[in-house]
Amino acid sequence: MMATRRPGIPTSALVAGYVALVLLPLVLARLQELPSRGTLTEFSSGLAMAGLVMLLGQFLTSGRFELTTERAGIDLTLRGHQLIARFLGGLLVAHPLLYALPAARSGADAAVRATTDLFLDPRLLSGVAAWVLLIVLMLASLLRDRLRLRYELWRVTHGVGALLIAGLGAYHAVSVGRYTRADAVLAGFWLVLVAAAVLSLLYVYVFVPLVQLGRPWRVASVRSVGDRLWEVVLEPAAVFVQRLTAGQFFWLTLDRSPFSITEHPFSVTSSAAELPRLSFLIKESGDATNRIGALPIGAVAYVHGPRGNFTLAGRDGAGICLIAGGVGFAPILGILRQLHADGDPRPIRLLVGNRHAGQIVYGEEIAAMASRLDLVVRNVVAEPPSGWTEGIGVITAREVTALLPADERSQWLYFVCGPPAMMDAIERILLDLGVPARAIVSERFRYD
Amino acid sequence: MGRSQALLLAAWTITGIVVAASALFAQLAPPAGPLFDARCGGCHTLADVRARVGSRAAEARAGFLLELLSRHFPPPEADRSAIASVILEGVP
Repeated sequence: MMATRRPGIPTSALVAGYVALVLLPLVLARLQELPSRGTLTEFSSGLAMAGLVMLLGQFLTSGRFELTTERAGIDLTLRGHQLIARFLGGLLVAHPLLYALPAARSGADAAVRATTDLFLDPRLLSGVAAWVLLIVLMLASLLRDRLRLRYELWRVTHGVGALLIAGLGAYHAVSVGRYTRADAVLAGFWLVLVAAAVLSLLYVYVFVPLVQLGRPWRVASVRSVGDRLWEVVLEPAAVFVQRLTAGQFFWLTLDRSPFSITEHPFSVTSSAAELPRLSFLIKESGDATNRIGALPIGAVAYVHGPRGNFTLAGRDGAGICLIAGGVGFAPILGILRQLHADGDPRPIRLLVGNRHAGQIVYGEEIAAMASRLDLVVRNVVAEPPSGWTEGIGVITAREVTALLPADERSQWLYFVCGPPAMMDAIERILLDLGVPARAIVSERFRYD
Repeated sequence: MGRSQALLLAAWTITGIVVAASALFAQLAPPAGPLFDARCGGCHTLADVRARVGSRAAEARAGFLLELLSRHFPPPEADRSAIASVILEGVP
């Protein structure tokens, strides 16, 4: 048995549609048959129009929309969002510089003068403002950790800043863009995309919180399960059906208004069998999570989801290997509980890496699962206590191969969740072992 | 190939397509200056003239160009503003 194709729009079709949308303004512009202003200038215009579509498309790949997260998964969606942001940033930053470049033929002074004129031209103010803001926004995102920006502050400035850039960029195109100012179709194209961007933010920051207000949850229990690790259980205050596939995550707002912009994504550790209750494993890792242990029982909570495709749905394998690092164990536990609830007969191997043994959680429950499942568990810790008999260090190829049947491992299904360095290492190990990439389902809980 | 590499490759490919399409977009633009070529192309290229005009202050360019066109092997008056437009449109 192999990992099977999942239902829905294929990822390749989504990518092809995206590329077509990005190139559409170039086609619309060229159909106008305006004469060339020089190769570099035309090239710069092309980059700017395509870059602006990519920028506006970023609003739909923010990880909040099922269209992308259900198909590609939150992992690929957010990493794609970050990569595309870097590339589109390069295209848009190059745009005004390419306009000024022809002047360099007359010397450096002329180039500087042309660039200065361009940036000081009052007609181009909206474009210049968007250009500067774009650079600031990208630097803030890339240096978020180094600048110690709080998640909530970063999130608000990222959303508002991106919307400002999109609006200013579109206004720049409509007011002075050679191909847009005289073409209603292209102007309409930008208007539709900007409207979609605005609606996407309204959906996330207004519509969803409004719906959540009518569907409050409450904190049923909070308990420490490991070093700086907390189990939070939520139950609905109003009865309604909640679908869940093990391994998915929710955006949670705890003990705050749904409009407070403090929500974070957390993986569910409970299975569908435990609905309507939802359990989460949350690590104290800065910002609001540091106060998770002080969360009062009965406190109001709001959930948005479930999201993500780090699930067994639509996938098959001769056996299942679950590999987790740190709090990346959360969705893995959800999947394991689902396999246990289903009494899945396939061989299951669980490999968990932590810094120290105090971070190993739910040991008794997992040991009890082995009586019903063909389950083998292996823990690896970097700082072992005295008398430790399991793996020491980090998860290596040796640890992985020791758990898997050599003749069948390419036919198994692999779920990997953890920090970026661990994810990359495990992915390399599995590929080197001959595991097909499509059989590796991964989700990182941090994006660098 | 791993997912990370595949994703990076996809992002590079999309960007490559965008850059290539923009280059094609530039190449497919109809030639700007049949009029310019006819009147000025024997001695000047459009890019050179644009660079020279671009080295002047933005507010002075149009006046300078029209005055130049009126004195320098002057084309018919009706063509001067059209030639000036072609030149100015490509000046950064």
